[in-house]
Amino acid sequence: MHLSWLIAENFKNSEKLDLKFVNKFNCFTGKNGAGKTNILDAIYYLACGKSWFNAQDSQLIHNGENYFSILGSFNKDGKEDEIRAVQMQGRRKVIKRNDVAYERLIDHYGNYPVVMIAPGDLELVYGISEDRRRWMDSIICAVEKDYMLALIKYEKLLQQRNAQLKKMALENTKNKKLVEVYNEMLEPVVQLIHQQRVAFAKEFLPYFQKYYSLISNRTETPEVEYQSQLNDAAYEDLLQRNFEQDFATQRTNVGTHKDDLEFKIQGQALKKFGSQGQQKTFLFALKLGQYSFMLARKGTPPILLLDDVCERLDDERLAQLMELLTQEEFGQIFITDTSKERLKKLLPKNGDKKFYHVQNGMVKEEK
Amino acid sequence: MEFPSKVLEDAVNQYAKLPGVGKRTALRLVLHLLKQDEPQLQELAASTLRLKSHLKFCKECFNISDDVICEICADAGRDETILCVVEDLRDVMAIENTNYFNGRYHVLGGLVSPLDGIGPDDLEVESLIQRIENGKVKELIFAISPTMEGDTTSFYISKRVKEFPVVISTIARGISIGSELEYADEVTLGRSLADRIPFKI
Ligand SMILES: [Zn+2]
Repeated sequence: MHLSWLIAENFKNSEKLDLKFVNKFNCFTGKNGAGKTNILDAIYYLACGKSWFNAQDSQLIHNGENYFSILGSFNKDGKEDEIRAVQMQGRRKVIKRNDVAYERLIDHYGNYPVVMIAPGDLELVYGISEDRRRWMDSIICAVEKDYMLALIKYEKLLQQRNAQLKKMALENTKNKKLVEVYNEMLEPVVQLIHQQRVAFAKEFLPYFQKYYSLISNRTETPEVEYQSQLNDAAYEDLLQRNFEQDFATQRTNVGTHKDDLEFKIQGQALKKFGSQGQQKTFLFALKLGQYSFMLARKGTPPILLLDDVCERLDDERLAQLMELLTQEEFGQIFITDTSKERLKKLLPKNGDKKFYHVQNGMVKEEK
Repeated sequence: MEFPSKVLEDAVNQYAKLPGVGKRTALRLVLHLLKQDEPQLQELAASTLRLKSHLKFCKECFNISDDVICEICADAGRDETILCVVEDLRDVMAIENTNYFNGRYHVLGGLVSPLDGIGPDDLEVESLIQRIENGKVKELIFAISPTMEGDTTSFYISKRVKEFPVVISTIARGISIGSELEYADEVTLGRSLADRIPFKI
């Protein structure tokens, strides 16, 4: 799959973008703050129906304007799909595919797989468990529609259950009948989420390990371990055992919202014992593993967005990464960098590539 | 929104509290009212007040009524062994329109949603249990919207009445009910009542 062209209006700091792309390397160079990342985010938005930066849609509108729109065409197996995303100030966003609006926005997500590698990835190592869950969910949601629906339902049920726990404290009652209703409604939803996460962790691991060894050239074994209270206890029992605590804290203390992914090298925690080099390699392997996983499940190469990667890898690893990316497995790639010369040196001499210069939110194609 | 008059602003704010009415719409309504003559406005105010002072809730089914017992509950020709459990008056009106149902109703007055501060005790659930305890009710039909709040409510009630010998059924899924019940076409709604299925979680 590849993105053939994109036209955006009033998206973040760009008044207007009008770009045609090549099928392999599309390179955006320019100073920091010129708006390079915004172009990647516009592509991400078109593919996923939301910003990569978990930003509110209204905040993505260019200063002083009252809407933004992104229009582009994805080519999937030779067929062009025109996608249009429009956000008007104070309105609900609309996403259309070939001029037909999606009834539910979630039906768009996952149709046009995309993987972003960006400086913010460090949060996967240093951030809270929610950052890792959100990453894992973003991948599973792209390949399993039921999973996305289950996550939405889980979130709603959990909010209701927590509200009920608060209400009970307020009214000073321990009448559990309604909480038990929520427990029973949660049960099948939690099972589905847990099973899907177990399956993902198992299927994902070999892809990840392959890239770790390719980038690092080392034999050490990295691991991604799925941690869940449900791994070794039944949900029903967990809820029973924790009711007093739930009642005291007025929120639900067990469930898949407490899950995490643990990153290890040779059995040691990456965050604590990994060197900076190991951590960077780990992160790139996670993202490239995500790429391969999605390629295998979707049957089409995802679009790869690389934001500022050259700054974050040493020369040797960078060369290794670029070597990897030229291989057939990888399709269309978008790269940003501050230095055009550096990118030119890194990319293969011959081959499908295009350079764009970015300045103050304006993009110029270079001949 | 900046207003040139405090009186205008107060009125707009009051109308903007109504469901589905934003500030812009509220302003449009208020400007429209400004053009009306005084007796018309007085009747509007009076009829609004009468909602609170004159309307009653039927002591049996809790439907809105002008009397202590509503017309449906007072009608000896209607089957008192079958109760159709609904969220509010709109559902009763929609089902009555089908001319299919000859049982009686129980109007909950909302759906369970702790997030909105609504628990079972804030609804007519205890009164429903009491009606069942009195022994005449043999079947409950849930005609409740298939939302999470609707499901929670049905599920909760089904747990509460488990100990009684009542059959619980639900109108067929897939048809829009609840607040949309009033728009459901009469034939479809009537058929879904006829083809009701046993309630399962
Ligand atoms: Zn009545």
